[in-house]
Amino acid sequence: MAIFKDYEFPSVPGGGGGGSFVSILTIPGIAAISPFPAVNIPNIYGGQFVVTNPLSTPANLLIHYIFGEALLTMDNAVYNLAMRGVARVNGSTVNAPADHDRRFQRQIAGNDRFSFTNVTAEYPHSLVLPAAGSVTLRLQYDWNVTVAAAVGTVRFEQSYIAVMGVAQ
Amino acid sequence: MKSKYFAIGDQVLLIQSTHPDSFTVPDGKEVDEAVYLSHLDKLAQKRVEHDDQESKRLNEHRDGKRKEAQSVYDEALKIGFSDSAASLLAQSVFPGWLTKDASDTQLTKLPAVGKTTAARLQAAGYTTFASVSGMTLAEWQQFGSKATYEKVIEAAKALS
Repeated sequence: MAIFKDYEFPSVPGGGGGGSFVSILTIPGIAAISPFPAVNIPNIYGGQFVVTNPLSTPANLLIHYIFGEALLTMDNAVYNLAMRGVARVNGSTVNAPADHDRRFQRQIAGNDRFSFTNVTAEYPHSLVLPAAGSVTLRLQYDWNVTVAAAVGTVRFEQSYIAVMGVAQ
Repeated sequence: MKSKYFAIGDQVLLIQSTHPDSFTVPDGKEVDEAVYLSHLDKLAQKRVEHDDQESKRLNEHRDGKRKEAQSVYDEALKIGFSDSAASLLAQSVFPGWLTKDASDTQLTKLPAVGKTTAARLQAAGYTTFASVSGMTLAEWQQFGSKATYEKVIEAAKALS
């Protein structure tokens, strides 16, 4: 069950009487990608939704992209492999994915599991959404690898996009 | 907060919102909570199955690596490596070869073996480590691999 299931959100102050709204998209994750790719794969996994401003006035949107955990299992040496979190608005990347990048190297051949825990942590973003205007918000992961001469799998845990809107 | 659920591809997404009708998933089909919960159950089941398969595969892989490590150890002894140096080489192939719980601390000894090997080869007439291994000493220390060690061993054999 989503971790926000029972969370009680307080009323959002500062709405000037125009109102506010809160929403969270939960992307449950996947069991595994097996074997994991040896080449770069943009958007190896992700999810999106469309936000429509329900207010009668423009709204300030504060968006938090909450990246999750990825678990890597591999047999052999892996060099310079990264899970890269990407935050998108209407199809355009709004974060600096290289800053939300958990990179992994195992220099000695062997078998191991590696957790990209808190892969990219969290990315906050803000924008103004006109009354009745819509915006598409997407969170995705790019598989970025220089050399992955390994056999293995990768699993993704839950990710979230949290949106708070306040009337201007 | 109210919840809505959308199935899209092999995903089921959850939207919790104070204004649930203001959020939607393009190309997604709205489903009820039971579908979402079923999706989570299947996901959990797949993960258990995946973990079992991975554990089995890793164990098989570990057994193979252990045999490789034994081979490297035996070969290193034949060409005159000390027992400790041969052990470290073997552990580079499979860290758990000797201790089964080899720590990174043990692996930090490997560069010393690299330096010793490089020094021996250089003393025997090779001007650079790269000339016999195809890699610089720094590269070898950084990216030690069985293939590299095999080259080193072949070179050492040629010198013996």
